[in-house]
Amino acid sequence: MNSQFLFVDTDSPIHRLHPITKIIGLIVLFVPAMAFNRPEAQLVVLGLAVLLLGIAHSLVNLRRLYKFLLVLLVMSALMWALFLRDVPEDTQLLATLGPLTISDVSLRYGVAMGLRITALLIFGLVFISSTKPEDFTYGLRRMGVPVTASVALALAFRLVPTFMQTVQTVTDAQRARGLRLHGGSLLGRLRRYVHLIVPVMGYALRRADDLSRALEARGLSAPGRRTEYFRPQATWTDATVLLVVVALAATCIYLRIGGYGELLPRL
Amino acid sequence: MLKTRQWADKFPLELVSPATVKAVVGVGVFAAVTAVAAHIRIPLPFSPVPITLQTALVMLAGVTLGAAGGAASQAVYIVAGLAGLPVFAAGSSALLGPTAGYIIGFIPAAAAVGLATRGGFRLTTLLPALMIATIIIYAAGVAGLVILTGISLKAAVTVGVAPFLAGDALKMAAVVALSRFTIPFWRGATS
Repeated sequence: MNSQFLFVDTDSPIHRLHPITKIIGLIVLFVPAMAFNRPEAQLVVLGLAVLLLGIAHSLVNLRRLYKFLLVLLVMSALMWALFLRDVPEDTQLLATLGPLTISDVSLRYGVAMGLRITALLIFGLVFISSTKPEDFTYGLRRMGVPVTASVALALAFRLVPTFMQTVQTVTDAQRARGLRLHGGSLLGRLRRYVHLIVPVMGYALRRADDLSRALEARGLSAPGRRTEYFRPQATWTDATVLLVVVALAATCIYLRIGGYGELLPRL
Repeated sequence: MLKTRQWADKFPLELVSPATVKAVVGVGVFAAVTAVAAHIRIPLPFSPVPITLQTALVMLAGVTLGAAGGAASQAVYIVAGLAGLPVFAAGSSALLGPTAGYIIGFIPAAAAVGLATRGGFRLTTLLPALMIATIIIYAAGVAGLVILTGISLKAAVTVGVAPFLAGDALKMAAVVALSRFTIPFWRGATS
């Protein structure tokens, strides 16, 4: 994972949108995913998410994360299929696992939920692939989010890839020194993981200390009105995109109220 | 520091104090570390479900940053996940799966640990605080399971609490060990 993590540095129609348009668009796009609970309908929503990722020229991130998404889809589908109890009484029982059972309806609902979570993550991926952390922070601040909250969120976005890289580096270094992380008793395993966790935490705290000094040095704690070098302008394209997204969400709600895409009377 | 205050008195506009800068960075860092911890899996010889260090980091965030900072770091972690960052453990099905309650429970759990350890590292307060935080996470998780899936309370406890208790005891031990150096490092540097 590189330092920019999932941001794809390219010029796509979605990249060119105003950060606020992208933030609102992301939130509103959650509606189509949440509106339906039939697997077929969720498949259409997933198709829309992948299409948007294609428009953002960011399918590379789908290739990068497809294993993670696949695990998430299967795990989510299984979990819902196993745990769901609010099903009609005449459903066909497929399997029993201790106190848990899988029925045909719970399985279909589980698949729909797996597809929903995958679609939501891909909508998020469209956003992350096309928005730099600083644009995200700018958008949040323009929407009235306090500077402290937006900076903390931007930091989290920036630091996740850095820390993941650190975990990998420390793991490789400790393995090179002969540390075997797997195998042996539980206590032995946990003791060996200490050699991984302590350096990572040490690095994270040192990094935090350096960062707060750097932010102070760059004037985050300075008094006065903030100014920005980066001031993107909203255009008619932004207004059109927002209108289309809101219309899409409204249509999905209307369809769901009409009973389309509904497997069970629940979210 | 004094100069900054003088400037602030002169121009009482938007001011973020150096202590706030430190707190903000801490929130961001612990949100990121919690996200990374969700992906560090320790395989167990007796279970197909591995331990992740996610809940240990939730508690460590509260211990290190205090109640407000710890809770804020977990809120940021959840928002980052909602915005599309793949921060949740693959098995946790993020915020929209049956295990959503556990993730929501991270916020009050971190706050509870932070509140109980305001006075610094003391084993007599830290251990009960960690237990309370664990109970909060499980209570939220079981409530989520029951509400979202319609499963019975007994079944929810059987599948959502019992298999993980041994792992939690070990995570608490890890938090105690780590907080011995995170508290003095962070709080010492902040004050």
